[in-house]
Amino acid sequence: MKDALRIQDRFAAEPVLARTGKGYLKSEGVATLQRIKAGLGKSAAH
Amino acid sequence: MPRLVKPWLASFDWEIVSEINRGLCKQKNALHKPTSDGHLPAKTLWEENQSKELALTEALEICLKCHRLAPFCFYNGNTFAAIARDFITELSPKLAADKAHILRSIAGHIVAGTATDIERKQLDSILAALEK
Repeated sequence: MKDALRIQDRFAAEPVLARTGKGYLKSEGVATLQRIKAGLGKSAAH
Repeated sequence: MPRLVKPWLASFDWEIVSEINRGLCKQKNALHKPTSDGHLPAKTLWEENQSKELALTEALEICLKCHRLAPFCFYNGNTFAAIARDFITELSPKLAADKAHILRSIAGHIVAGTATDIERKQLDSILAALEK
């Protein structure tokens, strides 16, 4: 539920996929992935 | 085609699906209510598959179909994407953190109906590596 609430603002409230046949999802961007990769790089360096 | 077969949806009976939607609607002061046309077909599809052994990609497709059927008035996409992101985290301990994040993200995109062909191939590639 925590993850569901965290990503809630990326979704449209309305049933967009049912009405249009096309999904909608606001991009999360790459910041999280970059942070994870930076963390992996650091742990590999140590 | 990688399979990774198991009852992926087993932990989520329809009451839990409804509760997730209720929680999401409450957070945004939106109406939590079943739809007249989508609720029964989605519930039926879900319950027919809930305890079935499914390939991971089949489980994601069930989530996508239920999202498309729109069983609830609001936040269908988030409801089923959250479920998919949750059951797929079971694979996370077997993956590097970046790959686990990508896998979770692609699962969400598939269920949201926004996944690209490249993402689907990327999913196949991660799953194939897991099956080795």
